[in-house]
Amino acid sequence: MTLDQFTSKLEAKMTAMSDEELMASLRKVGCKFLDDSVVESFWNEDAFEVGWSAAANSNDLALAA
Amino acid sequence: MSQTAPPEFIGYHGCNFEDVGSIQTQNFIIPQRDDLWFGKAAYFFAECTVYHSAEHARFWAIKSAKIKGDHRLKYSEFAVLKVVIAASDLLDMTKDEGKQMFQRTLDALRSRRLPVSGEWEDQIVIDFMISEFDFDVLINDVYSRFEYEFVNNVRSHVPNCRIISVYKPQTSIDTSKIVVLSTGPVPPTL
Repeated sequence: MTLDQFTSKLEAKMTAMSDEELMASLRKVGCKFLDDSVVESFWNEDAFEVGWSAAANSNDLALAA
Repeated sequence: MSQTAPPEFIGYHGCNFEDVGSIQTQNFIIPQRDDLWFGKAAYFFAECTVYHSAEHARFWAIKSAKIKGDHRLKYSEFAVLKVVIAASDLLDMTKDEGKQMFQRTLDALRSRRLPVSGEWEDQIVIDFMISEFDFDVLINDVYSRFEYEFVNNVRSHVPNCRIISVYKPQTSIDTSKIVVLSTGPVPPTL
């Protein structure tokens, strides 16, 4: 994909997506929003367990490493 | 009409020796964590003329076996795998075009003034690009601390390795071409 093609697609997508749709898409990739804090604090313990028990055979590069 | 074969890259991956069998039969499993450099992907050090990629993979395999502040090891034997990666839809951030794609996406997201918690993190922007634009492989140069840099506490803003992030291992990596380049014991933590 060339830069021009990418830019056209990006602009089309941003125009077509409402804020709610964009936020839903971003939440799927782990983005947190200010309104999520109440929900997050409620589920925090479970999320921690799921995140660290996820089986992976990949030697991933963690920021925290 | 002839179809052009996707560009291929050689990557090196350091891991637990015990995982080699499952990788060779089931391919790489992508960890579902939010703290990875460039989003949810399997990571490789790219073979290139600039960097010591296989050595970096070996160091990373050894480093990953160790637990900070603990003498125990997560695993006692490491492996370095050599992998052929086919990139059908490549986001090459070693090139100006790829850098601009990232920057334009970041600018577009910022301009929406969404109530994001904190700043836009690289891995969020990249995972968004991957999910919305179907890139399957990302290449980028970064600075990482390897053995020498750790021992001597060297910090820098100049990249010292090339990373390949593979978002769809099942289509990008042919497991029959995975080669075990080296194996060995993980040296004990000092």
